[in-house]
Amino acid sequence: MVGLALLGPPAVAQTRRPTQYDVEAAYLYQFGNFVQWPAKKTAAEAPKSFPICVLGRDPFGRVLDDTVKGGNMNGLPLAARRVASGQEAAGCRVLFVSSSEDRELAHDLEALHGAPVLTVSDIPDFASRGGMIQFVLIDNRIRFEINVSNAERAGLTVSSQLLKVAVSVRRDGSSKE
Amino acid sequence: MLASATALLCASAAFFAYDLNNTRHAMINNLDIQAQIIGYNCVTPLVFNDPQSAEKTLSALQASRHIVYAGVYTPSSRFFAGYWRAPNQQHQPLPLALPGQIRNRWFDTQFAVVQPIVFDNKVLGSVYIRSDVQELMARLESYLTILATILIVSFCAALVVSRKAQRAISRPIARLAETARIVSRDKNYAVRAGPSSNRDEIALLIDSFNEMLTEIQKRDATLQEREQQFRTLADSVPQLAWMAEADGHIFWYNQRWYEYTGANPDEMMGWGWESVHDPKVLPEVMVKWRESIRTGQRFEMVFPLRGADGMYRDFLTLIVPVRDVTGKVVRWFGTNTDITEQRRAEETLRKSEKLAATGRLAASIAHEINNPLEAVANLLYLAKRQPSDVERYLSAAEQELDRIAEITKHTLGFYRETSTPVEINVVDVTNGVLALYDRKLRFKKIKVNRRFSEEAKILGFPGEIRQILANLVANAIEAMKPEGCLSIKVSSSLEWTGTHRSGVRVTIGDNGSGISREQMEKIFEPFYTTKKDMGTGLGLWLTQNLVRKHQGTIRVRSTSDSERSGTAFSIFLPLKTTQEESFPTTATSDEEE
Repeated sequence: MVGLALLGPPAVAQTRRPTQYDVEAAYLYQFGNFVQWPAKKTAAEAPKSFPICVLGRDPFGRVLDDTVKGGNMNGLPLAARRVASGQEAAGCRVLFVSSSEDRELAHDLEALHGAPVLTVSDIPDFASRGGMIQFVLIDNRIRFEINVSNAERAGLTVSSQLLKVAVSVRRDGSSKE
Repeated sequence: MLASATALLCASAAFFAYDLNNTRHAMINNLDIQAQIIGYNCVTPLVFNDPQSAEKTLSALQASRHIVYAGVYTPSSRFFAGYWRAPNQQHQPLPLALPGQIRNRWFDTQFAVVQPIVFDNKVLGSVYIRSDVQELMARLESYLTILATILIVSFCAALVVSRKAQRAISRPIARLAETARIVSRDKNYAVRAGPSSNRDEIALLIDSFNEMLTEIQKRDATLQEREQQFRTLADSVPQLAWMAEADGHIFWYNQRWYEYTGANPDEMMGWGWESVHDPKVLPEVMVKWRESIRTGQRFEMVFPLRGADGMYRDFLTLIVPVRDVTGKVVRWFGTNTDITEQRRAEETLRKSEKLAATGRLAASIAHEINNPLEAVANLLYLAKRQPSDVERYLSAAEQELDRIAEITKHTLGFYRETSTPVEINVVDVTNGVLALYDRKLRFKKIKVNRRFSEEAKILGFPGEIRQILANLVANAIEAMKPEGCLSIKVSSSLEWTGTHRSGVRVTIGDNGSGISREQMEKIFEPFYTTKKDMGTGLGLWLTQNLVRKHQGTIRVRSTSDSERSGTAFSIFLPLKTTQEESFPTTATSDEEE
């Protein structure tokens, strides 16, 4: 319920105003609810956990760990991981690409080799540069853009529910406001 | 008609209430579903804190025109997004009723549903929808319209049907009722209900009714015929006859009554008959008659009734109760039989018998006196012829004369006419009677066994008592062969039946031939005799009459068995009679020599 505590409307004063990264950490976890990953072919390949990974310099610190602690997603226990490369991130379900990776972004995404990993980042133009979900700050609120084509190429299905609350939805160059 | 309308109304109301309830449930159900859909669509807006998206979702409710407000709230009941039906107004979010507390509630003309938004087993918030009840109202309105239409249409249809039904059913029944009314009002059983044109139950009813009338007419005719027969019969009998209600009110007299009394029906009905009664006797008649009415007992009495000529004649009146099946007296039937002639005939008989008896007495006395007189004549002759023995002859003649004196004393002494009863010693009378028959007894060598009390006194008429005893003694002597035994007992006694009055009992028994059973039935009838030319057949009849006159009783026991045949007459004479009768006493004597 930690995530829910962060969902309070921004207009209402809180004892501790959630920071940008508090919200983003919660969103990383929530995206899992509205995205469908492809089923593994054999039981041996079945995942043992639901890893949420951070690539590059970790902006969350303990916040992400606190968010995933004890939680689970689709019956799998949540886990927070830090990865150093795109190759390493192939086993993740959700991958937050830190703004520190801005320059290496193309290489990193290439390294995933089309693995079913939901890529999320606040790097500008992330959605148009091969990423799937890009956080944007609008009216002092964290919103996101989604590139459905990129997700589909990785074998992920994004729920229309999630698309509904996206600021914009891109589909191979076109975008929906 | 009213019942049908009510039934129709009730049925419709029930149906509509049922339907309205269903509609209400459907409405709530519908709102619940809408709330669930909205809740589902508001999961991501809530998760990703996007009220605009939620409002977009809510705006879809425009399609449901009855929803006036919908709101999405956070789990802490904070307003998140809303929808108002009325556009361009300053809207205030409504406070949320906590989910689970009150699910549905009514606000005057609105009601609300609250649905929690649950995602991944977590409550993300609530949806709150308020709807007006225009749908229900509209439905109710249309139902009322339908109901009114149904009622009006059914009423019209019922009118049309009843018009037709009246022709087929009501009219024949009304005619039947009218006929029944005429029958009961005019007692006219000759009318008939008109036939029905169609062959249905009504026609059957009318036929049955007419058959019933025919039957009643037939019975009426039979009844009248019987009544006529009865009247004819009642008018033809020699008696006066009449009928009275249970309370004694006379409602019918036969023709003879009117002929005899010369009265007309108006005077006689009810209690008018009192006017033809002897005022002296009427009170007693009334007492007896009222007693009969009270107790239901038959009435029997002899009383005089005044004829058209103003003369009273004696009537034996018999009144018998006519009872119904339960034994209750429903009417009285009375007859009055004129017994004046009968009484007169009896009186004549009595007188002639007395004359005959007097004649026989005279002969008897002459006989009794003649013998001693002859003896006196002989003795006087002998005294003349034989002067030496004159004294002896004269004293013998004197004895004979004494005997004559004795006889006359006995015979005439008792027969002084008395108009009032005198004290009589029955023993003396009995001795006198035996003295009278002394010669006869000696002639037949009959032994006399006397058992007399010293005194046995009654009040009565001596001549009549003597005649009673003389008749019985004479009969006993007649019945016996020579050397028979006459047994006479006189004693003071109580009556052996009835009220046990005190009086005198005399029993006269013989060992004669006895009286057979057939004879026994007739011995007290006038003109019955077993002595052929010898008797008048009036002896015992007169004896019984005289005993009755003294209010006494007479009994007879007899056997004609050859071994111990004999007859015993037993009479009881009360000490005094309770009522004096003006029966003329005449000198009488023994009879049936």
